[in-house]
Amino acid sequence: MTDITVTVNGVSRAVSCSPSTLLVHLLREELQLTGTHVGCDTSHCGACTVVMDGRAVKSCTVLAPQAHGRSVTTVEGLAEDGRLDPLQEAFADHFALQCGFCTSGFLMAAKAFLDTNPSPDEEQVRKAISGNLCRCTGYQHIVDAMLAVAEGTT
Amino acid sequence: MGAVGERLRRKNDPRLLVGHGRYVDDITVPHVVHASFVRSPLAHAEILGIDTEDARRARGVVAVFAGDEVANAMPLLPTAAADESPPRRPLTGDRVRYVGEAVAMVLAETAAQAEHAAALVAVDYEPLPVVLGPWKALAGDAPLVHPERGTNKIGEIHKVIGDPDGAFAAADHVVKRRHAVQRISASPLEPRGTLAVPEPATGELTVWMACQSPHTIRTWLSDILSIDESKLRVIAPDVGGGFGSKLNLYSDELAVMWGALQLGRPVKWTETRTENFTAAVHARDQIHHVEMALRADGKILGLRSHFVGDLGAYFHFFTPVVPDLTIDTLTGNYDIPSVDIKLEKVFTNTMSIEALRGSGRAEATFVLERMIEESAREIGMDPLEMRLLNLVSPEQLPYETPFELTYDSGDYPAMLSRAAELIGYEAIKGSQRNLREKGIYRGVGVATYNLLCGFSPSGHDWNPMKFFPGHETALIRVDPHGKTVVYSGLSPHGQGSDTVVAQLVADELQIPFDDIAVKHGDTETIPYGGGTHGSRGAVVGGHAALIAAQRVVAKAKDVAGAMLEASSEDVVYEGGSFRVAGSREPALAWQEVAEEAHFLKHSGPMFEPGLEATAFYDPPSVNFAFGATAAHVEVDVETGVVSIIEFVSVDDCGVALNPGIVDGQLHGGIAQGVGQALYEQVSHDEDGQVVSASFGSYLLPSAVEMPKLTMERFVTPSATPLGVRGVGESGTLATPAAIVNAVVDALEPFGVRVEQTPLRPNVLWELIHPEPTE
Ligand code: FES
Ligand code: FES
Repeated sequence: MTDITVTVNGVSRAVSCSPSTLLVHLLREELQLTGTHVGCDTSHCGACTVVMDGRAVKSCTVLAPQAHGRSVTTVEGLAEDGRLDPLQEAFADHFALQCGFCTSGFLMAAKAFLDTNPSPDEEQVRKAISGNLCRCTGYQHIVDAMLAVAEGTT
Repeated sequence: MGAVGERLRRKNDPRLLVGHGRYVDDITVPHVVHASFVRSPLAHAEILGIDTEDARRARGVVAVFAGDEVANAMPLLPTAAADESPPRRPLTGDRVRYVGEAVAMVLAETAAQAEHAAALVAVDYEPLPVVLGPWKALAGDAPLVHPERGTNKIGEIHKVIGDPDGAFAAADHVVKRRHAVQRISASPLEPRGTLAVPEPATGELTVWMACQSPHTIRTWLSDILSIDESKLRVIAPDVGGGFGSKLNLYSDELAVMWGALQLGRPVKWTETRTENFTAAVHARDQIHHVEMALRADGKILGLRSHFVGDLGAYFHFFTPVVPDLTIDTLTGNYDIPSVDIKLEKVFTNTMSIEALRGSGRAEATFVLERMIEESAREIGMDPLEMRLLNLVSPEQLPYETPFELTYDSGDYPAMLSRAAELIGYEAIKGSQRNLREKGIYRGVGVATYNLLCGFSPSGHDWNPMKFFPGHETALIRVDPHGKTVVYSGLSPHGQGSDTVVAQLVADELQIPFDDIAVKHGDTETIPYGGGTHGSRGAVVGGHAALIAAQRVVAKAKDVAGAMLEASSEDVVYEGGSFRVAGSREPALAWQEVAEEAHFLKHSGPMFEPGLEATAFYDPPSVNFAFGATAAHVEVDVETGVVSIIEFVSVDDCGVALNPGIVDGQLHGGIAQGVGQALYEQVSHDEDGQVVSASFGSYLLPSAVEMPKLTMERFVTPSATPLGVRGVGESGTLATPAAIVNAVVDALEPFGVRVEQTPLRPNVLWELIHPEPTE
């Protein structure tokens, strides 16, 4: 077992886990943050995307010990003081989710991207989320929502 | 202002957006054990022995189930056409018939321990010859999937309608082509999952399951586990997409429930994605040999298809009727008087074929729209013009198809013309020559669809299951404060049916949308319903809710009448208040009536207390939604890569209850159609291995592959009270053909003949650069 300390959604958490524990399992099982989902076992789907030190990462490809000393934001940490992030508002306004299973991954990928690229064009937006799969929406409404946030129209 | 027709935010989003969704894998209960399956690595083999010793001794293992004796003690699974169907059990003990078939189940204290121990189960297989490919399966010397049947052939349907022989004899042109629709996977982002919680003290069993139709599952479970339905509770919590693949009761799911009953402990299982590609149903997989009889001017006189449907190794719920639906929809929107369609269905050593968004109808649309394209090109006619000549015209409506389906209304030619206009059909054609000189190959393709949907009136042939309702239900319960809960028998898992049901109930009850909650997916609270599939949410479930709401209003008028000392016939309900007809005084608010209905403070016992109503709605007929699509593509002839420059979809789903939700349904269907045209394929190697068992080899379109979608709607209300038509499956129908037609157009100078999809770069490259013939 390894002792690690990770800041998750602004709160420092000390946990002990096996060195082979994946970050996604630490989040879902140890910390019971089940908003981060597992959609595959080959690192292709992006349903598990979280933001680590400002970068979007697939939490199924990160070992929990690699998150030691870092700051992780999950979908549960996106709203602040009960106020939804503009991305969450835009997703609702633009019908950017259907079954919702992929949604947390898209929100976190979009968050990390827009934080560093505040005024992207459509092509850049599509590229930014190309590591995330959605089977329900055809992506159009997700792209619309992200562009609306970038343009400040949400 | 009414709620219907507005882009109101979806009811579920607030939870899902903050990560508070509850999918099966998110649910934990005390004392749970975890299941992992040992699955066949071979497509066809005899099981000589299974050694479970090491697995049993592994850490955390609670039980291992395997072997002939155990398998035979397990209940049979429900299947379509039970008398024709080979038996299917949760585990197979003697023989495996497809890669991924469950051979053993390991239960352990943690999921990781179960998975580890499953790897220690040693199965001794004697490989048997494998049969793959539907035509090969029909050959006399083919290995048999079910030897006791004596053949791989399941059945044959031959429909001859009109005078096809006469049509072909009179034809000026006969065009012949082969069209294959490949095998695909539904691939919902959430894999399957089951959590079964028994209560040994009472014999009760509660099952959380990623499923689309909880009542159906409950009734089947009662039958096969011999537990009263009153002791069974099936819950579909948040479900991460299904597209038909979660409509079944699967062997592994039943094994989990059976194991929980054996142990008297909760058992949980979450499918991996890799498992999903082999152990969840597949779809499509038809090969058609088609002939079209044409008059010199391009009028279609007749259509022949001899096709074969590869159904896989077993029947699930709808396996054998999926290709039947293809027959009945093979003339699409076109006026084709004479048809001769022969279908043969076969078993092969593969996973079963099942319903998948647009099932049966998507195959028909693809084959027909590709065939018209090819016919037009062969006789030197513009494909758009040929379609316009042959589409059923508004004057012909109502129109009865050769298969006795009655199209009610709509304007198919106008929709196609509009799609062509929006994509810039003429301009694209006009610029092709210049672009080709610069080495740029662009093309335009169109296709139309007519979605048979709203499944389905009870007693129809398309429903081969003993327990599978055609009706839908709603219970509407108003509380003393006037707030309302709708308990809907639909089981939406992304479609947003809960939201649209709330919208139409809000208008009918004349109360705010926000005062309505919609519950679904729990057999303990919901009246018996059919669930969500077959584009039936609004068409069937919506009408159940509408009727229940009308009954609630009628009851409210009784209450108001008693309060106003008037007969209820004299009470009018308008603008959210009740008054006596003719009187100008606003009299009673909704909330006052709701309160009185419960407490009878003013009116005495003049009516039965309470304010609620239930409706069961069996649709009088199926429903049709229709439209036209157009694709503008560019093919890089050096690499074979297709890019979609623009995609247009012009759709008529009647009254759109929530346009945002409708658009989303269409977009999602179109994306699946793009996948079918260009990327997705369940591929087997010659031994029957699934070589596409990850998202790295089974390619879903990402946001980069998807073009910007240009959507436009026609609104032809259906003859139903709500005027709605189905929409959930629409996008999947015409999309693949429009794209392939556009690719064929782009590559016209190369004269490529496309006979199968997906048009991946390597496939297309080889078509563009054929091996030189000596
Ligand atoms: S779970 Fe699919 S990429 Fe992480
Ligand atoms: S909303 Fe269902 S997978 Fe994206």
